Amino acid sequence: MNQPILLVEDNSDDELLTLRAFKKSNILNRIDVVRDGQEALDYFNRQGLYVQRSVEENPELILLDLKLPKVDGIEVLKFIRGCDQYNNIPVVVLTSSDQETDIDYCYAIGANSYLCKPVDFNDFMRCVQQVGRYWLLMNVTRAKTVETKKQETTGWA
Amino acid sequence: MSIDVDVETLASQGLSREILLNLLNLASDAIILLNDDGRIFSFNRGAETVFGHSESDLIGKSVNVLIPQSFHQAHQQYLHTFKQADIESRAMNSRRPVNGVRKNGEVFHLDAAISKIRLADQWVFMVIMRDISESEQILAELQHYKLHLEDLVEQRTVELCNLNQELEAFSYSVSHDLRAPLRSIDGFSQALLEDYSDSFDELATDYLWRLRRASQHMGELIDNLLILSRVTRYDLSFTTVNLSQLCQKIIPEIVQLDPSRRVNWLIPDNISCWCDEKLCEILLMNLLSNAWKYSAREAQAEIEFGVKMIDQETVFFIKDNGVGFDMAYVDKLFVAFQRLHGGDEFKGTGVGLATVYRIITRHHGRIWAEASVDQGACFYFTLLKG
Repeated sequence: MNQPILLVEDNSDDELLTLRAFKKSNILNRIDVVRDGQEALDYFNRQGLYVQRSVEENPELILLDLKLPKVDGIEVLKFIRGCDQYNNIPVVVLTSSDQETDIDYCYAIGANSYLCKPVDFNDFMRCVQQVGRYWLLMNVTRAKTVETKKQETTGWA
Repeated sequence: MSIDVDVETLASQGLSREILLNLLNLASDAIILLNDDGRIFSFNRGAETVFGHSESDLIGKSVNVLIPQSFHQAHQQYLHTFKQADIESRAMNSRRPVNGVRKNGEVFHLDAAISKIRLADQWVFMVIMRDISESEQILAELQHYKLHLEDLVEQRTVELCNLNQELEAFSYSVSHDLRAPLRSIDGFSQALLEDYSDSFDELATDYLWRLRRASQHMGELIDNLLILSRVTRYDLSFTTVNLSQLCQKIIPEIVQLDPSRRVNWLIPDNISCWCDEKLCEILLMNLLSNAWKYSAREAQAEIEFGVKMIDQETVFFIKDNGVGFDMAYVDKLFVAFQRLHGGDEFKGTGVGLATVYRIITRHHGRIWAEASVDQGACFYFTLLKG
């Protein structure tokens, strides 16, 4: 069974469009959706709504919006990269912002990819399709190893 | 017949008095002669102007009339000391300014010089005074402006920083928040077209396509506006840039919009310029895209990039053989949102040339255009003088 994809997205329209794009791209992984940064942290810490979440079901890919209520995407990304349990999971920043400062900063703190959501749905579809194809099918993710623990730098999947 | 004239000659001719009076009245400084006990016996025109008294009113009066009450005693003491002193005179700049009082009661500052002459067993004092109230005031104002200017610069800098931050936040918000609803409009229109195409007739389908086109157009508008605002705030870094290579990099991006078109690109090798590469790429992208767009109706389009010397200035140009425009509207060319062609005729956002203009301005260059309807257009520009 495939691991789920975690979608961190506060805009319900974007959520629906992303789910639709995945469905149309025949990506059949379960998609877990959290709607703000705090919920994302709860998901990883298995707190609140996610007390029951099984460790076996850690996501295979994280799609992260940046501008989120409560805790923003940058904080979530920092948490993921600072956490031994999750720092090998590919994180694709999927946001509307094409600000250079955001882009540079996200890569600096360990984003694997940065994608700007296009307005045109067909472009958006292609974008999601390729993300799925590349990160779920082609990319080989680094296994969590003891050595990574020793490294001071944030982990890159 | 001429004679050698000197002071002795004039004196021998009995002209000493005329010379004295002439000199006294020519001077714009106040010149006052006092006798041993400080009474005025000569008061020139300069003194009349400075103090507001007429000579006839003051002859025989104590010099105290020209000094504020509170300084009378000190002045008396001063004259007494000067009488006893070994020196003959004190120059103007050797002392601090003194206080005077005008006829209207106004107290003011004067620079004063004094000298004494022994006549029989009496002293005669000559005093030259210059009203410095005006220059003091000007100095004070200058000082005030200087301080004020520093404050003002600091204040404006803070304001500008705040404004820049606001603009940053604004464009961030535009880039993030304005695109999201457009994606929804386009995305769900598309979903309707795909999933419910059976339920829609031709008209409904057309409406949905219009929704999609409009949201995509607004998406482009937002993108272009963001570029325009970033061009304004962007920190330039100058290098020697090969503009020919930049063109060669840009052209394939433009061509892929419609590979079927027949376009002859004339781009000579190695045209270089000292400029900011990133901004100049946006500049060339905009001008070449325009040339491409407006030459779409030509069976064989020609787009040329080049450089020539005009009045000893390096002028670059981008020329096409497209529809051109009416020079009557040339003023509107570089104004944001102003378009010379309808959206149905040629697509566009009206921001491209405004961006070009801003890039040129940031390089301290100039841009102008020559065109006529159906005769093509040529955009000339300079980047930095020299």
